[in-house]
Amino acid sequence: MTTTASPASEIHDVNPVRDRPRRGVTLIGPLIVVLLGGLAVGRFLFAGSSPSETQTVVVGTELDSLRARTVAEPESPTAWLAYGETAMRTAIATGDPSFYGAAQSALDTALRLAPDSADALAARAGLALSLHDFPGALPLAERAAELNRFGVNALAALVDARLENGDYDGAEATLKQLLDVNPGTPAYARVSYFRQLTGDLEGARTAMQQAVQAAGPGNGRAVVLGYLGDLNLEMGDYDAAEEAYSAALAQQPGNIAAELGHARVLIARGSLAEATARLDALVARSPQPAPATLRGELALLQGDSTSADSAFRLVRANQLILRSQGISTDIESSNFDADRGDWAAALETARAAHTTRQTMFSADALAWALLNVGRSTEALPLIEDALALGITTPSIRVHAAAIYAEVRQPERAHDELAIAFRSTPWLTPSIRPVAARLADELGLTPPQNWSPL
Amino acid sequence: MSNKRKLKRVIPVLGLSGALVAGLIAQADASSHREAPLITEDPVADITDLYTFVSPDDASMVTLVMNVNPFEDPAGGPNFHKFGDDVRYRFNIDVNGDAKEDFEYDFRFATKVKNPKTFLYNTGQVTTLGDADLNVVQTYSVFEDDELRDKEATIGKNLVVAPANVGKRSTPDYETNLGAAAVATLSNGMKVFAGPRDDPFFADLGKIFDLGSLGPFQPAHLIPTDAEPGEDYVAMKNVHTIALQIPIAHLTEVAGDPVIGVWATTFRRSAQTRRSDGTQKASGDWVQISRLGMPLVNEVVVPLGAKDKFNASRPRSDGQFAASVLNPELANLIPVLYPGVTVPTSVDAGLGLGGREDIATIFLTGIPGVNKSALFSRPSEMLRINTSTASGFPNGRLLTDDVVDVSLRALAGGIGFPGTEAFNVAPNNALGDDVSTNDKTATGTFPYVAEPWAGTD
Repeated sequence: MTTTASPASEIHDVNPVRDRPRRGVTLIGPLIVVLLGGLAVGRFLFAGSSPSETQTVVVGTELDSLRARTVAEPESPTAWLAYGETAMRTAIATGDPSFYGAAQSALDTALRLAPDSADALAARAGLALSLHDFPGALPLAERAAELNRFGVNALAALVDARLENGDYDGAEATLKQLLDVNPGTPAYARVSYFRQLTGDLEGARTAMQQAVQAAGPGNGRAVVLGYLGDLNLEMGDYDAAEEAYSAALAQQPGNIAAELGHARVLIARGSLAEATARLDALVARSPQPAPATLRGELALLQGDSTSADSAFRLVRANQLILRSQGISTDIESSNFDADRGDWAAALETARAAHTTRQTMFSADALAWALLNVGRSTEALPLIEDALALGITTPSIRVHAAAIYAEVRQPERAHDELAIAFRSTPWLTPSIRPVAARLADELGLTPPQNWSPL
Repeated sequence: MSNKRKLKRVIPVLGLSGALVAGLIAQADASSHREAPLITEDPVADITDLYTFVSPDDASMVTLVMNVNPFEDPAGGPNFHKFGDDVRYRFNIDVNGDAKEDFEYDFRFATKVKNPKTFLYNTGQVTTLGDADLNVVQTYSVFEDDELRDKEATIGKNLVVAPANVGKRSTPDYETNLGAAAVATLSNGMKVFAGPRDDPFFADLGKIFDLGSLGPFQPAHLIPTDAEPGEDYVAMKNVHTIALQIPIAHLTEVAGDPVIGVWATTFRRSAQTRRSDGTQKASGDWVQISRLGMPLVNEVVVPLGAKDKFNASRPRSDGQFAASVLNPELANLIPVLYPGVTVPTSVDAGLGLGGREDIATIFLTGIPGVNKSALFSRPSEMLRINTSTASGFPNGRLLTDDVVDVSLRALAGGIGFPGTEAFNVAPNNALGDDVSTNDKTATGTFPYVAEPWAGTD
């Protein structure tokens, strides 16, 4: 209902919420509201251009009613919590980030009135994660889980916060706790992600299938179907990926993860023109970094540097806006800069990310940037940290192969590249030449799907 | 008024996926921030209501009805609603007052798609349960654990779930051909049914949700509005019903008391964070994820913030919730929302606990002379019924009982419980949501729940 590239007035038309809280974005203008909205919604929770009107209307009515309740009962923490949670859901559903501000102040009020409310703490932790305040989310989620050891929201928030802060052992322990109290979609989806982080894609797919089976119909099922599509794609099963993305779109028309996934399937199958058309439509509707980045990389593949530059400019603009809203884009920015060859910028942001929290992704980003500024000995322990749990994501394995090759461990480099070649290289242009060069050096033959298109 | 209703029935509609914000800028490859969905709605495992009554057409049988999957839109095609193949549904029965499961009846479901090449639910007109044109078929089995006789057995296998009421063209004469046809009589004399039905619950959820503004008393409300008639928010909605009819003697003859306590539970399988073998799918233990006995239990029994704990708990441990039953949250809200209305704060029912012992009696012990077991030994929350007297909430629960009105009045001291006489006056004894009947009439034969709305209604 949001992420059309239409003026903000259209959002208002379909979203009958009165007296909406605003947060400074009016200065930037309606276009930016839409742009930000698309960003804030992100790839998984995008409510499409043809949303269920019933849902929209009900949210508006409920939000009004809940806001009225905070006026009638300003000292009631449950009133503020209900309003804050619904404002957060509305931010997600409409893509209008001004609702995040409302959610934040409502949840902060709820917490001031009831500092020991596990639900309020879990909701506030979830909001912090949404705004990429990973270190800030952790103590909130810890406290929530301490107060309600049966709470699905509390435990799920703690799993997420621990993962985002690189505490994988702690996350696994909390995930087990969640499975012991409520093995439903939130638990299964996190089991899937955890298995993916350990390199067990088959197990990840099985768990995500369970998450899909247990999910209620609608947007929630669309989210997990999108993840299932991504797993199928990473495993090279294009037909299954396409089926999952189509099912996601049937549950939630316009679901951006599924639209993006379809484009990836097309690229993987070599249907570049069709993928281009699809991505152009998607970026026009939803100028978010993920589709814009893929659009730019696809343009590079096709030798169209003008389109690539324009797509990449859009990504940078988005990152600036997000940062101006206090949303960290560190690892993503670093990866983006690295892929564009801006190693100084990549190093700076990766260093900042890895200082804030040490995850396999921050370690990988920093290691890759260090290698490319000629500091391979510093890169080595970092890439080993990144691989410690066993993740098989091809870009990380190619980075590892390059680092091992540089520090003269050709056998390790060979093994890493072989692992990368078992996956599907659909995030391609920047990684493929590196992989091809290494394959040549190490005497490996890239599989057909790694060859330049 | 009902938080339970709020959570169980309203949020799934508003949920908009309920999932958290997505990775704001995640890339599909090596995503640095991946937000798994925070979906707490689990509709197929969500027990909306439990009913227990002596069968109107056979006084020797008691009927148990569990409804799940709230707010089914009858026009659900092509993916019509189903039971969860990955969920275990259970009726639990205590027959000797000790709050432990003396009988358990488990229902497990399996879906078969005859022709996976079509997405259609039916490929032509469906006139029998075995019709070749019915493409998606769900079957179920029933397992009985009789603790008192120490017997466990599968008592029904390959039973067919009633299909969706697609519409007059696809499913003509639905009730005769498919609904009633799906009632199965087991070899032990029990009857079972599983399938979509009309949701027999009725309540003005909208106004309840809007600050407990209960019609027709809006003018007396904290934020007065003109009086408005109540509106049934679950009108024209279906649910998925599991119904079981059991000979009363089978349940009561061993323990010897006519009072039984019933609660429904659902379970899902746990999983392992890391696989130990590449093929296993769902090898974990069954974990209880939902529990329901009395209606409106969240307002009266479950302390604030303890809903998850309650859903994971068993009746035998309900003593832990006694303090909130004696001081029910919703009763305290009534005078706030309706200035000038007073409700009792303390009613002595001989429990020696203080506070609202009337409410504790209704919810945790059974009412002496009505539905308290002579064998009672442990307070616990369940739907109690004296099978030797007339059924009707709070003695069991009929499909037609107006539990919202009865519960509100009980909390306001307006139902004549001994010790609440001073409160048994207007408006306390007239509180309600102004919705007093369902939009379909319960039938006279098992499973009694009215036939489902058709997709074309």
